[in-house]
Amino acid sequence: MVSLEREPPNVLARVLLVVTAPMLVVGCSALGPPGPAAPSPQSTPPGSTGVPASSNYRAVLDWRQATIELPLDHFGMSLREQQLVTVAASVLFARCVDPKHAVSHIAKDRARRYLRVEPDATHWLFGYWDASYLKKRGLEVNAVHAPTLSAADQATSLQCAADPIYAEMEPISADVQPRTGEFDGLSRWSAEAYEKTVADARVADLVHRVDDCILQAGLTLDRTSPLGGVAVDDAWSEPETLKALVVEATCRDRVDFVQRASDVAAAYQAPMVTDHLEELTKMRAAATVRVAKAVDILREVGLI
Amino acid sequence: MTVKTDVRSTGRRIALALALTPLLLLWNPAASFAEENVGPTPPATTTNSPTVKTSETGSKVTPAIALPPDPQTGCIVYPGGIYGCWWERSGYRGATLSIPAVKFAKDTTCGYYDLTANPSGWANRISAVANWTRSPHYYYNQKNAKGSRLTVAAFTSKSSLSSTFDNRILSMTLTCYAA
Repeated sequence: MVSLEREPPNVLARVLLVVTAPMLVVGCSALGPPGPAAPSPQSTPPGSTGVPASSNYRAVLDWRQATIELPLDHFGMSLREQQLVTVAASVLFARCVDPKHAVSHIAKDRARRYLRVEPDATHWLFGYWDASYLKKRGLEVNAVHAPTLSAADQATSLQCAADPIYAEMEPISADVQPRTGEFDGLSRWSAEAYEKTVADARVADLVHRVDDCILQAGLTLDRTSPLGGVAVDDAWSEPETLKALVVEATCRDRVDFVQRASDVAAAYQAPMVTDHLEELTKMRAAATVRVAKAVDILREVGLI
Repeated sequence: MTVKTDVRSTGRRIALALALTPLLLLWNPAASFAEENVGPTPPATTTNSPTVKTSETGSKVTPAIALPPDPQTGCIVYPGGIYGCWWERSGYRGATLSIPAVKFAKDTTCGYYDLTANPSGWANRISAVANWTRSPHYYYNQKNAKGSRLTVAAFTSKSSLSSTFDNRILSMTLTCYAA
């Protein structure tokens, strides 16, 4: 595996320079790598991916955390930023439900714990891959790691959850269907590109190759999924399930499935970025402001 | 190894609770309202779900349920509470499925990993969701936590879903709490 520099497309590079500059000023220490879990794009060597030559957008895979970064993702929060606002929200909630408006030690411990681990992420957008990561982390990677909010009575919880300051700490990302329509373009366009990708003939061809590999390993196919992959039997133990999914991941890695499928998705996203650049730039700016507030909140309680 | 042991012991406890649940429901006429089409089933952890993972998320026993469902929605509220509710139509309409608040020895990640099998009848059928826990719910449009992910934050409900997830959810993960 070779570490490569990211090659953002020209338009993106310009936009990102503009929108991320304030972020660097606001809290580069907070947004930077917190330790071993910090996200850092790391790609496999580039190869022929079958993506239209007209596209200079390329998906970036992080093999250390089994994550995929697509062009639209640049305009939402990074995984680390999502982690920061999620934790800040838990702090605000803890303070809100406490009669003395203090943040309990339990809430701080939970927050601190989540800040130290890899943020929850969409790892398997195009099926299981990155076999070494999957073997290392196991199925625990699918767990919910975000901090549990402080306990309170129902009325207080409702009141605090409805507080606009708390609501403002919602992550801006393709994974989140926002409370207001202001930022829903990110998830909507990402979804449109995803649908086109899984229906793309090039991806279907790759699915066949992955499925052939799985069959050769003696496993049954999930024929209901456009992504192909292993059919998991409910009766299997966790180790048995993991073993089968590692086979699926190995087969996908063997044909560079996720890089290629992600590059197809990136190519579908490219015109969306161009068409909605102004709107997306506003989203990124809002994300930057939101993250800055989160950083302030976390600093105030000594979490960063 | 530890995980397996924990799951089995909690599984027995849940099996007992589930065996008792129908009896409790018989005594609660209101409970039959939402039983229109689908019976309540526990998170997939009770059926040897493939992706059960036990993890400590807190050293203190905490109440599991954050909020009661809106009485207008038709969600069943079990004696032990619920973790959330699904609706087959947007706007919190149509048949519902309440997710019973099964108690674990410690906070545990559990979920429904294949909605074509458990709970049967809910694959590609969810159009609105509510999270009544204090942790996020993650929904996926493929089985076994694959495909696109939708995060539904704690205390959040979605009366309608984007086209990626509307009637297209096939698995989910959530936190089951300590008793």
